[in-house]
Amino acid sequence: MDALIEARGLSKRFGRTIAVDDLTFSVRSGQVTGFVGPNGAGKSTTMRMILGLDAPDHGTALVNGRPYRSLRTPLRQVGTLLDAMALHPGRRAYHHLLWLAQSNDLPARRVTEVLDTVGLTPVAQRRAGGFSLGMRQRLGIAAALLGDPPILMLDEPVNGLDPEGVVWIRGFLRGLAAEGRAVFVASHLMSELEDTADHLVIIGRGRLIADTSVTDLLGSASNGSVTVRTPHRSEIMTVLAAAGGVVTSTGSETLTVTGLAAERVAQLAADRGLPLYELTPHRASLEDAYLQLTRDEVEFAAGRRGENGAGR
Amino acid sequence: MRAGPARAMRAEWTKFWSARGTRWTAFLLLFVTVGMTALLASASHTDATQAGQGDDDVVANSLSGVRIGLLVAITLGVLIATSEYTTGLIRTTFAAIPARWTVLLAKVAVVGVVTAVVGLVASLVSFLVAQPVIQRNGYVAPAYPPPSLATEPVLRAVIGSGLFLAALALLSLGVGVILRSTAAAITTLVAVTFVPLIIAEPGSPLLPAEVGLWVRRLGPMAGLAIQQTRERPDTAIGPWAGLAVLCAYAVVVLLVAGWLLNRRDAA
Repeated sequence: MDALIEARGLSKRFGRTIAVDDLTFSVRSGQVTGFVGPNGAGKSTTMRMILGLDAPDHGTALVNGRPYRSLRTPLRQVGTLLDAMALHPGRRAYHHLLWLAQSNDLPARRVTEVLDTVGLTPVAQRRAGGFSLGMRQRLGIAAALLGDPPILMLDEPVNGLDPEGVVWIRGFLRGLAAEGRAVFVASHLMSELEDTADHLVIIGRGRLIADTSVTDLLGSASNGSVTVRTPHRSEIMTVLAAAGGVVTSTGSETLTVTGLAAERVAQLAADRGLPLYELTPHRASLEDAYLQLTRDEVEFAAGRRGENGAGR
Repeated sequence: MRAGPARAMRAEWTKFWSARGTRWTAFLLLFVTVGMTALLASASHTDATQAGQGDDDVVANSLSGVRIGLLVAITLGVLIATSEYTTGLIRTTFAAIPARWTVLLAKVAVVGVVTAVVGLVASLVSFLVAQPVIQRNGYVAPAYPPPSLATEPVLRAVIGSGLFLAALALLSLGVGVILRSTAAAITTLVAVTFVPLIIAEPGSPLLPAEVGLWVRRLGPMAGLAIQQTRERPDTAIGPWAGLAVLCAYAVVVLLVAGWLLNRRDAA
């Protein structure tokens, strides 16, 4: 798996605001990499620096090992959707794609092909100004696909899509990664990436919080719990508490335990000959894991705001 | 594979003709220039009947609509730059063509070709429309022998008017890139074109005569001298020298625009 996008020590400040702070990560082929962080975390700025639109104050961003601004036909290497609203409202969808194709010496045939891929063929001759946000997103995705690039970089592509469109784009992104492409998707909602991303680059206030696979992140989450139903509630509670679990009684026969895996709970009960009627592990959701990970960061941010406020 | 500038020019050419706003300004440049010429010509009048009596420049007067049409040329040049910023399209453009000087060069080529061709048609049609009107209004031989397009000063004035509109549109493109706002760029350009035409005109009480003369010599509107076909008391600068002054402004402003475009973040 090659690193197709590489950010090394990227930093950018706007006036006194630090937008991106010493950010290092890489995006590999054959998987969907989610780029997650709250609004204002610096995701769009990072993407603009990767595209050479904004110059970093420090650090470098490489695409296929080269700075983006040195690429001669970049659309053949990186497909981008930054802002679906960034269209000339008076231009027809077909012509929006046509000038993009011409700029990178791509045949006009590609325009009709990508319009078909995103399902915009019926409105190809309509002016983009009359498009809904969802249609604009599709047009932006069509533009990103024009050069059949090995890398796709999309900023909040789910924004404005109807439920059908959301399902479509998830499957679509998975398909692109399965073809061996590197897919880099920014979102401020972890839930949007729940079933899509393989890898996550998580940032908060411009800094890297985690660069991890989805599997590792879920595994590291500590608040997985196990629900137990047993006629011997109080005995089991004593045994589990002695083994280090945090046990809460939730009914006459049921209890919830955290800090112990389901297998360990079953073993402890079996050792003492205590029957269990039900044993249900609850896996932490990606959202829980993310919130756990960012909690400190958020608290720190709130504290800092307090300090600033007091200083004024 | 086509060379970078060729690809960029093709893309800009498609962009130009596929957007309603810019396409309309190209047609407006023609209609406004010809229409205003016809209007001004029909309002002209002379009593001169003998050779050497009047000193009106009947060629320049047959191209007078250019003085209003130049507003459209300004708008066209500005819009090519600022519409990219107001819509956010500039980021898409630079993502497709990261070489920013190449983007500017392509825009210069498209704006230059369109305004030169449309401007040339506009000035030629203006001349042909205005001449009979002016002659009906008393501009006849012997005081005013009919000008012929086959003679040097007349042909130069007609072709030069097209070039004037193109040079002004290119200056406007540069100002648009620098200011990135349609309103700011058009206001600035109207200020540097119309204000001198008004306050520095011969006999204006607003500026000392000597200062007014130099404003007409060294302001961007010196380019209008390309329409002169006879020496008059208010002649400030030679035809080609005047057009060269305007071109110099355009070149300097475009160089500044390219330099800024290259080092600024694409907002």
